[in-house]
Amino acid sequence: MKTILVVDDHVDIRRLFSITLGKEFNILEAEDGDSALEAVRHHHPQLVFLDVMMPGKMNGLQVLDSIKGNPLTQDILVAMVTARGQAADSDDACQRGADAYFIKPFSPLQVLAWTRSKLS
Amino acid sequence: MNLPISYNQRRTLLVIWLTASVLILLAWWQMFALVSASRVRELTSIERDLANLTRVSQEHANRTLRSADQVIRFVQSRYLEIGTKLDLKALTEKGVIDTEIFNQVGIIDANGIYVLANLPITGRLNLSDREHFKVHVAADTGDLFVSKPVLGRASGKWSMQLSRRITRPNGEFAGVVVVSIDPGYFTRFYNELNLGSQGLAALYGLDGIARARTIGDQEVFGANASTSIMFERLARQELFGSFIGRSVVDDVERMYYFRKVPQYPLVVTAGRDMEDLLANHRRARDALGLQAALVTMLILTLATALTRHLLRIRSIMAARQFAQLQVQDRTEQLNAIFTMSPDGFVSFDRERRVKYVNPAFSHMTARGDVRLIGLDEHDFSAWLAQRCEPGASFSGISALRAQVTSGKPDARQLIEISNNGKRTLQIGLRCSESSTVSQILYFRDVTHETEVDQMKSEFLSTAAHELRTPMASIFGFSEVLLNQELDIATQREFLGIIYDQSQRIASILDELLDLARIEARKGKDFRNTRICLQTLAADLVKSFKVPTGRSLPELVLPEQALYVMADGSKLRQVILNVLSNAYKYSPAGGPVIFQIDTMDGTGPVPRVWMHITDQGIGMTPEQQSRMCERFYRADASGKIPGTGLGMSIVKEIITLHRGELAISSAVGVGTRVSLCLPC
Repeated sequence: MKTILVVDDHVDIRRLFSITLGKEFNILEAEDGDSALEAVRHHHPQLVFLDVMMPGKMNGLQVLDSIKGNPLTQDILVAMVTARGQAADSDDACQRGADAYFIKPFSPLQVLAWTRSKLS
Repeated sequence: MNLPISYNQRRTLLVIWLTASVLILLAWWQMFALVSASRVRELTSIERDLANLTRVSQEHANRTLRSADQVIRFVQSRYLEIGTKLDLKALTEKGVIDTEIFNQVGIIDANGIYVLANLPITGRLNLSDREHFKVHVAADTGDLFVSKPVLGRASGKWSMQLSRRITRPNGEFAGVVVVSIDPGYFTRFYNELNLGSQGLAALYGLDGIARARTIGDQEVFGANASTSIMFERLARQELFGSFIGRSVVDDVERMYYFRKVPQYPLVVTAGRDMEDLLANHRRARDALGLQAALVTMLILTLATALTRHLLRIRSIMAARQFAQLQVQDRTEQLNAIFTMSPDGFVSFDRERRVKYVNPAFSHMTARGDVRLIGLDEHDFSAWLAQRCEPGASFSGISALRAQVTSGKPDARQLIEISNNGKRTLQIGLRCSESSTVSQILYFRDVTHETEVDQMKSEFLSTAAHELRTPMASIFGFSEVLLNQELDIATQREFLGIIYDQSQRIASILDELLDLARIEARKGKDFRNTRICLQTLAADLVKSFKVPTGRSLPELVLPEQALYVMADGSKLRQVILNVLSNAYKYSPAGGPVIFQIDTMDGTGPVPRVWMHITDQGIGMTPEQQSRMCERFYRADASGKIPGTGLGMSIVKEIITLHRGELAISSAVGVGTRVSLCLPC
């Protein structure tokens, strides 16, 4: 079973991802950037759903840079999940190497469909 | 416009009119001088003429009388010798007696009978009543008697008698020799001299009676002029002289000249009518008067023209002065505007070199000592571009001008300058057709506006983010509920999440609106009343819903009642927000203390401090400094509920009450929020 890491400071959002994807994938959760990178290093998930605005030292974009900048982890798919819905933000994320950009509120069904298409 | 006449102008006018008056006076004085000189000359000339005339006349009379007297003496002597045998007619015819000058010569005997004459005597003629006889009967004076003119009984003509007494050697009166002379003889020759129609020639006796008097061609004899001044002067032994006066005989004003006839009681006089003799002089006087009047008019015209010219110059000067004042006024206004304007201005001359830089420009670009005046626009652009931040540099005046000339008159450019922090300047260009200025660069510091725009944008972005996060839960969980078979417990869990997040959205919206209203109205809708803080604190604490298992806030209140002027409901909201935070951020429990200090009278306004203290998780200094930012949450985990707007509202309300907010906190120790309000 493939592993997916969900990074979000809101517990409800992490819960939503695990209920949506939990039946088909192994779900890991992290609530900030540091713990997210740690989980990536330890578990090397195939996919990371990454919130952009998070408390702590690192925000989502910095975590993205870290994953994509590391040859060991750059193959990991990263999907940004954020409330920042402006085109400039999504363009910025895509340039940094993000594989998808979901804007809150998002449709869990679409997220599931996209995840299946990428990981199956 | 009317300006008062200045001292100098008044002096000039005075000089002009004084000169004009002096010239006019001179003209008239000259005129009168000429007139009187002419009159004097005329009178002198006439007087000389009359003097000469009377001299001739005097000599004529003298000669005539002497001739007549010779005849008389001759006849007198012959009569004494031969008596009545004397043949006067024969003597006359022989030329012994010259009768050219007299009518007749005769002898009146001692009885008054005209006994002998050179002309035939008709009948016995008694002349004893005649004056020329009677004077000799009365006394023997030895003088020739010259009678008044009488109409001759013998000749039937006016005649004047010259007579001498004939006295015998024994002293006996023997009669009188009489010569009759035509009185006109003395005066008639004057007619050949033109003395005018009222000209006078006369021979008077010293008794004042005219022996002969001719006026024009009229001969009048026997007139009495004894009251004339002439006789007074003769009485004073003046033998000749002149005078001007009215005739006592005919009231005509004349110039007279008189001469006493030596040895005879006679005076010759000649006179000319003043009217007549001064006619020339009057014509000359009138002509001179006309000239003087013309000169006067000329002077007055010149003075008036000068005055008008001066006044016109004054009016032009006044207008020019007024215009200069206006220009000066406008320049001062513009200087004041350029100097005091918060906007920067740089003007360029016709050669597009920097001509003027105002203080605001120097200030906003931190020009320092750099000399910009005289720089051409290229160097100026380079200097300015060099001061700009790399990302927002100045593209140059020529680029701006190209935009203006291509039909964008209000083309603007934003640049950023590092001057005491980053300043954003907006630059505009205005081209000018004036003779001294080619273009003006206009600088406005829009740092604040730019920051406000940025803050608004960030706020909107943050607000959207804060709303999108609970929306994501609501949307996502409801989609899951709709599409997945879930057990009842999970369904209830998800519905609970949806319910909580919906409430969260509503709270955020409420507080956002609350904040927006407070900000927009800036306290104008506050209903300030006098509030007793102790009462308010007690009420609040009593009704405060403490979380389960926690105790009510502990009140520490001063005894003396404290009052503040505040909006009761807003103050309640402030304290509730802070109290609610105190409980939320001390999840491990511990007391919450609500303390009110006694009044602080040390500042300019007496005030009171309220402190709400918890023993909760506390905050780092960075968290404390951001605590009142909108949507800022000290707890980002989402475990502690809240919108991140409560403290923003507290800050706004306290500030609008002219109060103060202070935080002291330490991580793991707790937080104390202090609120201060003026009493």
